[in-house]
Amino acid sequence: MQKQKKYKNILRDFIYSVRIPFQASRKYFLCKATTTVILAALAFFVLILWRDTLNLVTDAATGTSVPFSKIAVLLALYFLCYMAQKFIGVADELIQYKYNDAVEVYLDNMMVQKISGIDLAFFDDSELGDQVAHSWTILSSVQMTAWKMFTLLDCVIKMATSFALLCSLSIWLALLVVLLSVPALALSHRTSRLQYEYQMDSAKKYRRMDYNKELFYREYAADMRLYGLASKFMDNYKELWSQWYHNRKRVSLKTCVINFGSMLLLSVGDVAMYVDLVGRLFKRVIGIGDISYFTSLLSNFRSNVSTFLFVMVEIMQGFQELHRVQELMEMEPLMEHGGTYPLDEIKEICFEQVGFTYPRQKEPVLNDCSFTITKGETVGLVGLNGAGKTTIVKLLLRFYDVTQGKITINGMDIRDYELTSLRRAFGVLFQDFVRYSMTAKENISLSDLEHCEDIRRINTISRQSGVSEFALEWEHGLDTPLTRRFDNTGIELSGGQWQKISLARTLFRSCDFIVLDEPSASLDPESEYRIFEQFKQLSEGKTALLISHRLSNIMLCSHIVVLDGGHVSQQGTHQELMEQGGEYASLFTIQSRKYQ
Amino acid sequence: MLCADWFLKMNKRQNKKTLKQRLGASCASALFAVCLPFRVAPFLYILFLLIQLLSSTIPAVSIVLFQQVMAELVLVYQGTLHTERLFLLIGVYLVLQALSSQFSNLIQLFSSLLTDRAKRYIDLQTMRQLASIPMAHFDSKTDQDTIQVVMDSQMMISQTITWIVTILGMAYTFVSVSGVFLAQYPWLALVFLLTYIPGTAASYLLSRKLDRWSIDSTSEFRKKNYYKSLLTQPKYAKELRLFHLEEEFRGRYNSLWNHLRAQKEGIFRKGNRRIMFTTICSNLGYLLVVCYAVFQTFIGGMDVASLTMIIGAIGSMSGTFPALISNWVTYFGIVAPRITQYREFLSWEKERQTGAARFPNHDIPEIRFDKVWFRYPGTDFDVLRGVSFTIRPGEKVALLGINGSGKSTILKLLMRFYLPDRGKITLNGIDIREYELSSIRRLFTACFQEVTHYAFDVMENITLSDIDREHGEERAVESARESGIDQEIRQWEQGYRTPLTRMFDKQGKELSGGQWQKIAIARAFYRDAPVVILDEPSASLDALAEDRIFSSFSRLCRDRTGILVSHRLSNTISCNHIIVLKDGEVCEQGTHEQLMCRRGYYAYLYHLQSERYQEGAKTDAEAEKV
Repeated sequence: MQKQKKYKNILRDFIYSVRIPFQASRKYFLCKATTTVILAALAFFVLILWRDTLNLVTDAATGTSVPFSKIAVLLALYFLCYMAQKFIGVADELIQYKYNDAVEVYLDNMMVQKISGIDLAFFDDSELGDQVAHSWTILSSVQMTAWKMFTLLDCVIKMATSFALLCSLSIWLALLVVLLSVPALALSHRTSRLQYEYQMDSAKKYRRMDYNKELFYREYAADMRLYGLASKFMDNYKELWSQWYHNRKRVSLKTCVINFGSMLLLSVGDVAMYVDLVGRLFKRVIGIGDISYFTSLLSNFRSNVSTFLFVMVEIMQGFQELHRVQELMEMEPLMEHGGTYPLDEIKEICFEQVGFTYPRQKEPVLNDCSFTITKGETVGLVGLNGAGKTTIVKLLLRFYDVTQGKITINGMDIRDYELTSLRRAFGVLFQDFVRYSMTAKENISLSDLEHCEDIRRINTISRQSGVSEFALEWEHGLDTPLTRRFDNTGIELSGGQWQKISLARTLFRSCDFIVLDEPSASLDPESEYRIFEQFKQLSEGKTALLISHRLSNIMLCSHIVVLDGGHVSQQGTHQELMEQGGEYASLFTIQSRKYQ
Repeated sequence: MLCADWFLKMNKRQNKKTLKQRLGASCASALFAVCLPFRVAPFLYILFLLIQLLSSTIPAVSIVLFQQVMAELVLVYQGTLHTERLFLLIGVYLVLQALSSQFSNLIQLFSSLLTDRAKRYIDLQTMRQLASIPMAHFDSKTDQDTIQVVMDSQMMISQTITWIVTILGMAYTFVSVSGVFLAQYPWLALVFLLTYIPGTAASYLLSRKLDRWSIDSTSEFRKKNYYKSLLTQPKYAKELRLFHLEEEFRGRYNSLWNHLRAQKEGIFRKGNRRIMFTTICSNLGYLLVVCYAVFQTFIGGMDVASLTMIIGAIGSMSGTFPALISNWVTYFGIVAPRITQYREFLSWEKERQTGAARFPNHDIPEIRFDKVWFRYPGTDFDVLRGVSFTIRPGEKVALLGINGSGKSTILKLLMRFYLPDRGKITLNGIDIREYELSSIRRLFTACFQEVTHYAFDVMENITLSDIDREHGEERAVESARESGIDQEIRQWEQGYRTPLTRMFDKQGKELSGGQWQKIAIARAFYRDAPVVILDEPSASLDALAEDRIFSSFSRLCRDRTGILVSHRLSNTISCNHIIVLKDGEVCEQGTHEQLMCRRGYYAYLYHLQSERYQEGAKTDAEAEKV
């Protein structure tokens, strides 16, 4: 039962592997298949023509009269076949380059489309995230696997033909050859299994060994010099290496011995064949040409068998990785995207007894969390790390759906709104905002591509956010490329400058609701002060949500929500909360008392 | 794998060198690779070379032998059977064939063992070098790239060793077989060599041009990959979905792809015709030789055995030669530059041990900066311009200033990761250069902004700050208690043996930023060094965590010198010596009260931060009144 399932799986993987190059480009697929078949056939024609030529020539040399025309014809045909072989071979290579490209584009696109469309959940969840990250490196091996199908086809054709032609000499000999190849097959299979099991085991050890090497990199350089860790890690490496090498040596030696045995067996077949051939030659049943013909066929058969085995093993290993790609392709979104209502204006957002646990986690991050945001308010979210502040933002943007309770906007469940229009209503400055290797203008206008040509708006926003302070000095102004990734004249900005750029990006989007998540984390006091002064101005007339650990900034908010263990413990203005004397008051005092 | 960015830079650098220089470098690299195994596993290597030599001789010998076999077989065909001689010859021939395959079996074994041993050697060599080079290399972008390439190339370099020997073997086979051919039919052999070799070489080199690498290094290809990463990597995922950028980026990605493919098409088309032409030329030679030989045999000018010899020889040569060229081109284009980079990397100077004085144990140094000027190597502006200050033993010092004002640079100079360009740094009055390097480093414990995560268990993560201390487990637990993380650790299933990070263990713990900070403080407690440095830890800590970290820091600094770098002036207030940096100079220093009286830059920054807090606390007090 297990075996049946296994074979079924293998068959399914085979089909998938063939489907990929087929769908990538049918034209090239057919071309490649054709050239493979033609080249295989030509190889044999060449052999046969040479055999006949040699036979005739030997006859002529040993006295029998042979008309020249016969030889001339044979030579001409040989000539043609040989050249055809070479040309088609070159054409085949050229097709291969192009086809390779086509397959790569196809796979690339397939992956990009899938990944750029999947839910954020897949990235945050580290196991799935690993799978996604892994899929990229696997892609090239999938490409190769698809490719090896053609090599397999070539091998199979050649094996079958060689066998058939050998049979024309003597069925018994042909069978003997095949039979002797069987133990070779079995042994070879055994070695590849050995190798494979070894790989699995040793991979972990190898990674640990390599990890010690990574510790000599930049991030650890200061530690290494201060703590003198070099010899410790080198010793770790040496120890792990000995263990790893010991196993590896064992496996390599075993493989060597097994190969020795199988080659010996094959040599027996050689001997048998030669004895038979010489006998027939003596009886003039065959000619000299046949000798080289049959020995070529034999070596042809053998080398194709070994290539076949080799490629099969590689393909099997490739299938494993193919699975992962398939799994990724078949991943279903966790959220339903069915909402159809457009969102025009946010008048009120309600969190109603919201509970949320990240997928595959046990502990809930939010638990019976309820609060309301009304239009025009500036809301401050406060809480210790892990209390759920960033999670609330993610739920608001519907990167995840709540697991309990519901979120409503203007009285309607957030799920009923069309996703794009929902997200369009928010302008968010994430703590880990992106620094795009594009021009400053693009960096700002990415949040609202429809208006990316609105120069006036860009200039206004860049003034408001403080970008124009440094951008005006640049030669190309806002058209200057940022980062030197693609352009050596590009500018590398400081952390504070990047923060201003991303603030501009947030503001550029014409929306009524702004979210700022820890916007001043690593800024110096002056820059921090300025950003919050601007925040007051910029959030006039809009609704804003601010997350910060610096309670002096939270004070500016008209409505403060305190989160404690995923639950709203307090709400109110700064004065109200200070009077209540709860968690907020104590956190505030911890920070403020130091300034007394 | 190939790092496309590096490749572009490499190509730029390469094109500046002349062909002669590159050939020279390639040969030097080859020599390096071939001589390396002698240091690693000399006996194994010599055995390997021997077997390779024997294996490479076999083809030529086989051809000659087969010629004899054929001669006998022709006699058999004609009716005479010299059984003994025939079967002896066939026997030897078959034995040679069997030996050949066994030799390749052995070669594979030896290659794999040699490669492993070579990799170990190269790895250790690299590690040793990385540990001894000055920090400046890690701060320079070009050097970082070189290091990255070196780390990526280790496997390739260790494989090169046996690979070069294989190539030499192939060359030897080619030469020996040509020798056999030339010996018997010199003119024919020459005709073949002169038509076949140039044609094949040209054909091969042309088709290599079509190879992707010429495209890979263009900026368009890198841009395409950039968009690919924007569309698929986790760190871009949020904004991608928030700003609905998928379509836009996918569009740009696709159009770049299409443009690249069109470019490739163009190159292909040009190359196609040339390749066809060179293919004709090279194969024409092959066929001419065959036809001539057949004709000669037909009219009786050559015997059949010689015919088969010729066919065998040209068959072998036409198989070996393209492989030779292909391997050489790969070596020259890809492998040799990497080996050259590696050798360059190995030649970087190590950190210089300038002094020999040892700093007395358990003594806390007085640190003095005396008009120190400094700029990072390769840059053209001074980060420090005549900085002077004194830190007395046991002081708690705060370093303040905007990003880029030189705070981290001062720390690096202190730990002697760099030496000042002008001025001097003294410890207890003696120039820092006069001290032994390790002696100085032993004085400091540093908790940087980014805490280093090690994928080991908690105990090791703490005790690595003082590896020479034996039986430090108790002390480690005590340190964890002082930093406030001991209770948490005890609640974990495996306690102090819990592996951190999920790199090697799915059950490993991923700690939060705050928890890692506590581990860093625990490391500082464990190490027990006289000077403790704390660099801007509170970036992502909440109020409570920040408070706890700073109180542990205060306890840590009780009998030591503490140096704190932070933007939160609330934390620096308690320091008894505040140094304010602006534009690479010390603009103010003193205690909090002194600086507030001065009403200078510090007072201004303090007001910015404290203003609102004081307002907030005031309203509270006022409300109470009411």
